[in-house]
Amino acid sequence: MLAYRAGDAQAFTTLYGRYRGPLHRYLARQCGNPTLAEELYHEVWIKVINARAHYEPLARFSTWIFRIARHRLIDHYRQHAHQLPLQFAPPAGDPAADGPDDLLANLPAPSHETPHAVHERQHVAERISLALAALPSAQREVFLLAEEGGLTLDEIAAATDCGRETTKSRLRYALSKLRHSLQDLL
Amino acid sequence: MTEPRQDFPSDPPLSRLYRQFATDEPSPAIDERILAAAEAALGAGERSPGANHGRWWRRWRTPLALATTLVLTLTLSLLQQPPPGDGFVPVVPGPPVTPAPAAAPAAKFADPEARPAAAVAPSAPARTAGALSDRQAEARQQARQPSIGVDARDRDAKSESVAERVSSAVAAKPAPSAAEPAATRSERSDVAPAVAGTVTGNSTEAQLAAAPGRAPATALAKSRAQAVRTASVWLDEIRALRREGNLQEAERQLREFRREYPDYPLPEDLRP
Repeated sequence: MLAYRAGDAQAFTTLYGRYRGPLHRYLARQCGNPTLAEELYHEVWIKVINARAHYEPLARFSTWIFRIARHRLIDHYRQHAHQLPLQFAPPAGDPAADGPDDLLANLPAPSHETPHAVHERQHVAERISLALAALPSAQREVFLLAEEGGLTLDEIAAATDCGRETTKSRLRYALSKLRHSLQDLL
Repeated sequence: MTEPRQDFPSDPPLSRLYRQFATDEPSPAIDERILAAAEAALGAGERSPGANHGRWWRRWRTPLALATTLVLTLTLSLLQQPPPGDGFVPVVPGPPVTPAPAAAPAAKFADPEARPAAAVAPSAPARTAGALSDRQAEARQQARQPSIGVDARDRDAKSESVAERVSSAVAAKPAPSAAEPAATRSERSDVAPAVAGTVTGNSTEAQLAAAPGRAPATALAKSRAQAVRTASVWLDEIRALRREGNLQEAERQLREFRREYPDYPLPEDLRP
């Protein structure tokens, strides 16, 4: 990013190639709408480009860009508050339990939704996507930041503006639910 | 950022499964749009490494042009210099040389190889002057070549003075009369070194003589002068032998001469 700030366009191309997949998947999984995800994805990168002149390496670039993406998602949710899913607001009792635990039970089994003609790989990918979609947003966010962004607990906590222990608890819940959902694939 | 991942909740099989199947990526169209926006944001002046190359070129083009011009000029000036002892025979100003009566036919039937030198110097002493002229040209040439520690202007002045001294040495040397044709070939060939010796006394000439590559050039010039001189001088010697009455030796020399120069047109006085 510093090289790009200095005027090296090739440095931006390298940076973009490194983060295009993880950032896109993060946004696509978080918003659940491929078209909207692409729009947000484009906006995030435009923000990165416009912020190059004032960029300072106070944190890892991944932390910075995923934080921008998260803020853009929140802006989008605020603009479309009436469409917000219920699970985005954490329950008052348990900060770690961001959504109803029985959500998975209410979802149809991934194997029932996938047509038999679909390739096995697509089937597995679909199941993973569904398992992620079934997670509460905060847990899914922590999981995606850890898996796609490679962020540490402290970085995730800083990016999501919450405590380290809360982040740790959310991640543990997310892993547990995903393992339960994808048990037969592991 | 360097936090230890000991308390980091992880599930390696689940992570592996996720990374294996989570491969969806943005469309190439949006990639293109973002990369174009990134390049456009850099502005015209700092667009790409090509632009950096352009800045580099703008910064260095003047010194590079000057250096290239200098190198080309030096190369051309070196290429313009004729090789040592080649062709260039300047006319040496000096006292009028009365050609020896016996030498006139020799000049008339000059060696085709020696024609340029013979045209300038028809007689033996004049040919010696021609050889000296070769040395003079060589001295000028040496003076033109770049020499360490000698300023170009000084070098030109010194070379001119060397040339003048060579000319005056030629002028000061009395022209050999026609009574001297009996001088041996070796004596005649000693004339040039003798004159050169007067010039060698000069410090500039000594410096030039000490320059590397000078000895082969001088040897080449001498050999060329010797080759130009040989046929006519030989004939003079034969004439001298005849005048002395040594007819047998003169005939032997003439036969040898014919064997050595079968195509050389003999002067009338030496024809059988």
